[in-house]
Amino acid sequence: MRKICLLLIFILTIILMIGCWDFKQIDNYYILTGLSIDKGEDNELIVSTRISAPITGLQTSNTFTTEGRVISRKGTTILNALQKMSNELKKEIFLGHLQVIIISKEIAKTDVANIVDSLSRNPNIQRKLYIIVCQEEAKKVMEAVNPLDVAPIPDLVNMFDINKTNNFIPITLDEFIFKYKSSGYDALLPIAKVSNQIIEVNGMAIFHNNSYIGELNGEESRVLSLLIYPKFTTEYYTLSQKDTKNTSDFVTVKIDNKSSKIKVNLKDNRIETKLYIKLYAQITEYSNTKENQDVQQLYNIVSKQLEERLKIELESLIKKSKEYNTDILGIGKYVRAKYQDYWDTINWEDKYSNTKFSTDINVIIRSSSSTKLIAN
Amino acid sequence: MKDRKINIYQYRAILITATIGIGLITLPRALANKVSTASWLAMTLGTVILIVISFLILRLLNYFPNNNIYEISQTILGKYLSIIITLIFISYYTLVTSSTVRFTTDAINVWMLPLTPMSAIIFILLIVSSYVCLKGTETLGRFCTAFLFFNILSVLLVLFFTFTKVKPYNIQPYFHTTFVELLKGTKESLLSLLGIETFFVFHKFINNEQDVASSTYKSIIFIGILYVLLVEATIGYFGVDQIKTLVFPVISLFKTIEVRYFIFERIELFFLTLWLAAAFTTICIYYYCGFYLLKVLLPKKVSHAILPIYFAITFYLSRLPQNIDETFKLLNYTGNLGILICLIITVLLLSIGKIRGVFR
Repeated sequence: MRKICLLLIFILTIILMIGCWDFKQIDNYYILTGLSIDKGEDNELIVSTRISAPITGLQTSNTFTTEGRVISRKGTTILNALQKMSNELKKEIFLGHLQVIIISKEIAKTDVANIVDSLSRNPNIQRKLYIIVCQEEAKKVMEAVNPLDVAPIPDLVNMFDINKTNNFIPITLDEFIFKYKSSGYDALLPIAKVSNQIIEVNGMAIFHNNSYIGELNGEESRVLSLLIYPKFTTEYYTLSQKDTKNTSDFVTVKIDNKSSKIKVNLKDNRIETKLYIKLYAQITEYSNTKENQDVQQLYNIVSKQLEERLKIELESLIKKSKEYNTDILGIGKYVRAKYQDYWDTINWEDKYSNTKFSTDINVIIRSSSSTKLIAN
Repeated sequence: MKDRKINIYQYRAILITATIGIGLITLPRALANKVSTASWLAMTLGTVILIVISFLILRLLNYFPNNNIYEISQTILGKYLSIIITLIFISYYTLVTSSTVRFTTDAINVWMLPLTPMSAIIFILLIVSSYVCLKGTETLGRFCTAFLFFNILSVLLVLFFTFTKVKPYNIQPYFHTTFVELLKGTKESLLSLLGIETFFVFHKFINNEQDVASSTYKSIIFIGILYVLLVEATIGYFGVDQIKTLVFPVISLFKTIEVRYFIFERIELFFLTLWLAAAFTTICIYYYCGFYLLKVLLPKKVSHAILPIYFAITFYLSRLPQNIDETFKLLNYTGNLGILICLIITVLLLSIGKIRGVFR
């Protein structure tokens, strides 16, 4: 009896377990790496994507060529538009490799909640994809092709991965959702512009209460990145030794390493925030050295200058954040962590503009790179 | 002595793999919902309470080293009441199996195989469990020992990847909670820590009785530490606000992590494979417990044919919930039943046994 039972189970397993319901033939799919979302006239969403042109015959094929078709479809939601696209393309669309989402300013103002929901609910979509706001029509980013680039999406991803310029902070879907859904934090997204087919990412869009309310320029984004994005990036600051335009009077300082800290204190029912930034740098350009110049003094002067400059930039950033009444530095989360009882009794939105800020910037010049400032 | 088939290592493996299961991927959310940043405290309290419960259970079982729950309750309460108690246990084990199978299937459907029919996945999970049941306790012990590594690896994987990314402000303040919230959180942590009630079946099979108590406490403390770290790591990574919105926070965590030059680009699938091992061992153990008690309860002639019927009932129960929220409700209900069984029946049997003077 037992043997028969086992045999039956064995045979049943063989019959029932073969094949696979979830098998996917790669030829039957369009794998999308980027999507742009615009607002249509009738309040619908216009979703565009770029599909690499099919290559026939004996041509060498390369997925990331400049050749490609930009396809747009209207829909009430992202998936609705994608479904229409999929019907017309005669192949299914696969979102598992989505790397960049570009949304227009219009969408950022009105529909962010829908977009975030659609993206975060789909288990196929990676939460580490990048989101960008486009100053103009988001579709233009998809269409942009210039001889320097391979194709817009892989180039953007590469740019965000390396993040060399530091005039923006790369934000992934996950980071955006984290700040978007948390109290005590306001979300940011990098801003892209397209001019002459060249995509430039510079500055950050500020979100408050689920919508876009303003932006930070490149300089402000850079100083903000010192505090909230302490990843290693190569940055150069050019400082003038005198008030002239003479090239030799300029000193360029390269930041090697940086660390930052935010501390909050509750005093007389008011939050006091101290922002600490510590930078290690080296002088990388300076030709105006004089004989008998005290190198130590020069190091001090340069570091003081940079400290002053960063202080001014930081203060202007704080002023702007108070004007918009948005907590882009995420002070709220520190307050909540340290003074939960106080946090429970207040509305952070009312209290933020009343927060007192002080800064402590410390620049240490370590060397003058590979050449000595004074030969001795 | 011929029944004493499992050694102390296999016993430990059974306890740990029975405990580490589906709770792994939802526990941080369940705790964050109730006690927010004091989740670690609730988890620690849960572990302590579980040690107390296991102390009570072991005390009862020590009086009857050669018996299972049916035989124990028969000695203490008599024939008819013992049948009722055994039936409660059987229904509990069956409910745990079916709700766990269903939850696992839901997770597989969302994350791995969206097109595969639910019944096919349930069928596969149960048919393999049935095979283990046919083979008996020894095979189950070996099976759990082999899978123990994957169970623990799945938790370690979470810790490894989040270790450097935990933000201190997400896990502070450490003690901000009320007593009622803390109680609710502790209950929630107990639901994930259950597994000890399988003792009622396995205890008589262990061939090295002296080490049972210390092994049990060590295993529970080990799981407790792993779970506290897991909860803190996940909450520290996501923050309380975001974690509340995620159905499977630990899987979502892997969706956000990018490991350059790692063979798997979508690392969550790698984690899911390991987690599946954890879920499957839990299913197997509970399924076996239910089947074993049924076999004990029924006359020998019928007991051989009971597996297909038991299979069908579990299969049917797994298909019952209409959506994932109902699955969560079923899991919650089953967990509550488990806590009641562990506490009330153990205390009842202990006190009646004492009054009647059964323990000598």
